[in-house]
Amino acid sequence: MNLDDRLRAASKALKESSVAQIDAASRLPEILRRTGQPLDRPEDHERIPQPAPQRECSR
Amino acid sequence: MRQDNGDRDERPGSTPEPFEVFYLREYPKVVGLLHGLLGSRLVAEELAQETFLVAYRDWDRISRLDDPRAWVRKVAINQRGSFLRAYLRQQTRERDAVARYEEDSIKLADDHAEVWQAIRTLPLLQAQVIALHYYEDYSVAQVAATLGRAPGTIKAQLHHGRRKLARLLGAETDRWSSL
Repeated sequence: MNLDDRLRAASKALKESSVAQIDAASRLPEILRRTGQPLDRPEDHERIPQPAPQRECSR
Repeated sequence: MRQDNGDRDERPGSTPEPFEVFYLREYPKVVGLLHGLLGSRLVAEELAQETFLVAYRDWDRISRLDDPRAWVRKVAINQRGSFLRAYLRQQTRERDAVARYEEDSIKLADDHAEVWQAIRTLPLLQAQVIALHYYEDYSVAQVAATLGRAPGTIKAQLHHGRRKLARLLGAETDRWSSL
């Protein structure tokens, strides 16, 4: 495998692993709280929409 | 091919995406980008959170930009002062940490981890250029806009970075590669 292929494979793996391993939802309440707009009701948490299907970006 | 970096071309007529949707989709990817450059999941998450906090505070405007994704990446990768402060906090925590690595890394296969380890040995600008070009699949023009550098500078840094990585990784360079 040449360098370009290795770099692309490592990048793809890191992005996929990040999406799989990073818990974004757990940090969202803190972001909202620090801006003075807390999600302080359980029903608000439940209404947080799920992310849309991933779109691949093109160069 | 997009040429902008998300700072212009507001779209007054379109419906802005809700912040929560944008955040949940993009936050892990921004953490991945920063982790690739820094090697610390904790620092990457902290910096990504700061970036999205800034985005949320100005979401009415940022959500109408032509490319909010590019905006958060530009902010994330250029927050050097915050990098330093986060690193200092991280090092303070490390004094008491026994087994840091396992907890502080996004788990990758050894071959991929070796590539990112090599990228982190490059000078900062070269590492940023390589990360944006390969991880984000950015063109030279997009990398230049994100880092505020001339396209010629980015091409040169990409070239030098690739040569160094080829030596470090024992890989062959492909002169017909993505430039």
